[in-house]
Amino acid sequence: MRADRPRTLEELRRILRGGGEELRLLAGGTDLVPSLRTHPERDLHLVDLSSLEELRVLRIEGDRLEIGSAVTFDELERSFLVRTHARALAAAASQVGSPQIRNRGTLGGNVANASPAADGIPALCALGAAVVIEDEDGAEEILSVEEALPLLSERSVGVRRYLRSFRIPLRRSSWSDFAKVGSRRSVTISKLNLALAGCVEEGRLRDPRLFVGAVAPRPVRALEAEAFLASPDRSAEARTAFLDALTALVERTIPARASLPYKRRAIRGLGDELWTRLEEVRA
Amino acid sequence: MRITLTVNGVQRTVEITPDMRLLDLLRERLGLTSVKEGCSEGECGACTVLMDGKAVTSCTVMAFQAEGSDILTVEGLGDGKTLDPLQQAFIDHDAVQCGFCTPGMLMAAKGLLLRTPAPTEEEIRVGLSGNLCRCTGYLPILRAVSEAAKRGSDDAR
Repeated sequence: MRADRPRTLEELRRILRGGGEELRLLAGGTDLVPSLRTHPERDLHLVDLSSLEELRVLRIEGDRLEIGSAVTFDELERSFLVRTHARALAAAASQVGSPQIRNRGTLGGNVANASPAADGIPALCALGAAVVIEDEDGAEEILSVEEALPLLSERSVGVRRYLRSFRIPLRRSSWSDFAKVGSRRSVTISKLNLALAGCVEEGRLRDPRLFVGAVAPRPVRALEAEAFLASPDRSAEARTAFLDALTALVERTIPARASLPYKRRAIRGLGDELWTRLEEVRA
Repeated sequence: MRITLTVNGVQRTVEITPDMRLLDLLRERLGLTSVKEGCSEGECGACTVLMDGKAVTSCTVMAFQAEGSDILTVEGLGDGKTLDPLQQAFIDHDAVQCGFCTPGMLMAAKGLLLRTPAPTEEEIRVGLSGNLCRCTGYLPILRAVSEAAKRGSDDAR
């Protein structure tokens, strides 16, 4: 095994140019380090990203919030900017693992690892985030997180590229939130999660984006359920129709999975939670 | 490869291998056996140490990533004569039974109190949520951390 710890992006790119298939980018290590123990036969070349200052930015740039890929969940959870402009992401970050994991785990690692149960990914999708991917020469490609996910989960982003940052568009009167359920109340891996973002204007949610996580390899957008959120109808009947749409989405997505009886009901609990919180801001 | 880091207040330069975890470095190279290996996957918290003031599971950090960092383990908590208020409170409240989780509990609690000197009970519960104990049922530990925080704020007055 080899290990490198570049201090600048230039140094990182030089390592990437000289590296081969055995290159593995390492950030917080909360997923990769345990997996090294279970696969001792792999002779990897680890490259640590966690100390690259250029990947740790967290700031407003024009009309977007720029979040470096090596920003940790703890930093996201505590950031005033993230809590203000991307509440769903702060909420998701606050529910990832334990304090120890949140102190090390990074948003870039969460996305690059592309676990179906990731908490950060549905939040980024709902917020309409883009990801900046750079190659060994520093050339950047900007994709929506939704577009990038298939490439990441199939490991076809390429070994000589890295995630530089995430860009979340700033919108007036934006509102977002996140809810999840796992096998225990905290320090739990999502069995199901739900992220919602939109703009609340004059008591209505405009341009909602609702994503269900941990029901498929990648978050699934709940378009039919979104329509009920956008509607001015906030009656008990509308609420039930919204929850029915979520159940229908789960039934369509995992018709033959053993977890269907659980998830088709559990999604209603999460949906109900977000509907209630939305009611508080619509009122 | 060789790295330099600060461990319990002392700067150390150590020879490591690229596949070594921070946990292995602390236990095997530096003999700091308060750092316990439990689950080896960041779940149980027994290997918790402070890295630059923040609690981390040393089984999920590679040793080479710790270059230049400031590491604190239980061996560095007291000053050699007096115990840290947290250690004393753990003794006073019988927060130790078999003792295997205790170093990790202490370091998670230390990380919490450094950032939140007067935590609520809920904040203590969240702060310790990454540490498993199979003996105590957690209540004596919660009481100990609460008491240590109280003593700390009394001292500050």
